[in-house]
Formats: sequence, structure tokens, C-alpha cells
Amino acid sequence: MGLKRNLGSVLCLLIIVWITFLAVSYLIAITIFYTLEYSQTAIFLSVLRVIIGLAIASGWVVVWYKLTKFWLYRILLRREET
Amino acid sequence: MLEVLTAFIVTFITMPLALKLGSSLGISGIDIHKPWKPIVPKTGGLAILIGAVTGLLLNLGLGGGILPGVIAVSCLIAAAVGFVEDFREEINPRLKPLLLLLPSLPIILSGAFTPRPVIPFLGKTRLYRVYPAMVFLSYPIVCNAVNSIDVLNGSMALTSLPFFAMSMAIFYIRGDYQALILSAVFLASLLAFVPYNKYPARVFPGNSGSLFTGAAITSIAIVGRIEIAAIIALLPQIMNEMHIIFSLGGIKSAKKFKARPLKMENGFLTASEEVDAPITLLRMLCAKAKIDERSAVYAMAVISVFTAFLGLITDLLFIEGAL
Repeated sequence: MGLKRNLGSVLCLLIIVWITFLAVSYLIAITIFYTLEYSQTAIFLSVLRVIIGLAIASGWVVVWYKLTKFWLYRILLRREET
Repeated sequence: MLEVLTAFIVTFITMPLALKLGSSLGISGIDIHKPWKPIVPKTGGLAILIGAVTGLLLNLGLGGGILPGVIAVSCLIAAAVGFVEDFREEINPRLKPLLLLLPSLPIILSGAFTPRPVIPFLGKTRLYRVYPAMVFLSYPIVCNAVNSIDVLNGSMALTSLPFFAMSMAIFYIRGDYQALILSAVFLASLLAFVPYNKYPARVFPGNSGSLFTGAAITSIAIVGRIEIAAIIALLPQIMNEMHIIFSLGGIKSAKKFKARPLKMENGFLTASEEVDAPITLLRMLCAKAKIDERSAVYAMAVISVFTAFLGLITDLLFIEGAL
């Protein structure tokens, strides 16, 4: 039973990670790209676009790590033994 | 399909030879998750490599263009890094990622990539300057991620197979039959390896096998333009590697750390509760539970099948229409 519960829990975590990945893509699409995609001063803004995109992606990775840490220590390891 | 069949048969036939070679040359490792601690040859990667490269070269000969050759060279470079570790000793953990940048060179130099990846909601992007850098960086990330999940009998192969199955499904839907065959060659080679590597393993893939597979996954993702689906499908491997690096506070050898992610209790795996132990996928699966090795590997495979399915859904919903 322990393995099935842990497996279900990890799958839930991965669904959350997947949804946040799509949410971050959507966020970038409606903000940065919407503002910068059709701009005339191409080079500066394209560099800026990439930097902001990477910063958001890095932020997502950090959130993913914090979430996994929470999942392991607060949910999986804290559970009462059966 | 001759290439695919050849890859399977050659891998299957050469595996016993690779096994004997490993035993006779002493290229072996201790299977630490078994109470009797067997010594197992770690030369399975050699047979995977021979089988897959034979399939790729046959595809090249049958008029598949330069692509199979480029991918073969890329994968062989990654395997060479692995062989150094298998035959000698662990490479400095900071030097290894730098060496794993090299497999990207055949792809970059041959121009076998399209710098216009499709990203969900964004559509087709124009990353002419950034994309080559992303290709460059993707090899060490994926190769190390695949390498990091090779912790139990069959875990590397069974967690990599879903990616190739997913990529084949996407290429079939897209009608890209050349990419489909290339992907199927790697799938066939890994399938032929499974009977030898499943619990209780008679042979390990070694770092050469896992880095070769990592390079194959990366190459297929780039050449086949399934970058986003690949990221989603490889979430378990990436999560595993990333959390190990974060837990250790940088790129360091995990062997130098006292706190281990797992403990063995009466032949069963259980998660360490120490706060400074690295966070791994297997540790999460074994939290507050005693799990036998075979079940743990199947659970890891289920996770990979699930994320490969998510990758397929993502591709069908957001990518295919914009290509």
C-alpha cells in the first residue's frame, strides 16, 4: 500500500509541475511576447525577451524544487506509518 | 523496418559477449541493493551501442540521408565519456558536464536542427541565436539526467523506453517516417537490453549505456522537433537530477556525501529521513515504506509512461497545429 500511495502522490506532483509549465508558457505568451514580438528595435528587445524568458523559466525551476521538498518532507515522510 | 529489426537482433546477440568481456576484464560493479551483493559486469552499454549504431548505419546505407550518421556520431561521443568512467574511474563532476557538451557538436555543425521550436501558447518562435546554445546545453542536462536514474536493475531502460514510444507516436501522427525509424532503432536496442538488465540484472548499462541513451533522446528531440514533448516526458529524470544537484548544493559527486537517499532494511528499500540526504525520485517512492527493488523499478516505469503520455497530449494540443 505504501508504494501505491507514494506513486499516486508523485504522479499528482508531476501533474502540478506539468500544469505550472503550461501556465508559465501562457504567462510569457500574454505578457512578454505580446509586448515585444512585433517591436521594431529587434536586437535589444529580442535579447531582453530571451533574458526575461530565461528568468521566468529559472523561477519555475526554483518553485518546482521548493514544491518537491515540501512534498517529500511535509507529505510523504511526515505521514503516519501503517 | 529492417534497421529496427537489425538493431534488436544485434543488441540481443552481442549482449552475452559484452557480458563476458566485462567479466573477464573486471569492468563490473557491485549490485548494492541486494543482500548478497553480486558483482555484475557494467558493459551492457557496449551492446546497446553496437546494436543501435548498426541500425543507424543501415538506415544511412538505405538512403536515410546524413541524419542517422550525425546522430550516431553524437551518441558515440557521449558513450566515449561513459566508457572512460566505466573503464577507469569517475570523471571530475565539474569536468563531466563540459565533456558532455561535445555530443552536441555533430548536430550543430551539420545544422541538423530547426531554430524555430514551437512553445505552448507562444506558437512558432524565432530563436536563431539562442537555439544553438540550447542544443549545446541540452546534452549534459539530459545525459546526466538519464545517468542519474540508473540506480536499480532495469530502471534506465524502463524509464527511457516510454520517451521513444511517445516520439514514435508523434512522428507517426506527423507523418515523419524517417524520424520514426530513427526513434524505433533506439527503442529496439533498449528492448533487447531489458531481458539482461531486468531484476535480477545479469549486466548493467554502465555510464556508457546511460550516456549513450541520454544523447539518443536529446538528438531525437532536437532533430525530430519534439523539444517540449521531450521536456514533459523527461520530467522524472530531470526532476531526479535537478533535485540531486540542488540538495548537494551544486555539481558534486554524490559518493562524497555521507547522507544517502535510501537505506536497505532486510532486503527492502526505504527512504532516508535525514534532511541533508539528496532528494531523489526513488527516495520519494520509498518514503515511509519498505519496497522491493522490482516493484520500485516498475513504479518508476509507470511514472515515465505517465509523463510520456502528458508529453504526447501537450504535443497534440499545442505543438502539432503550429508546426
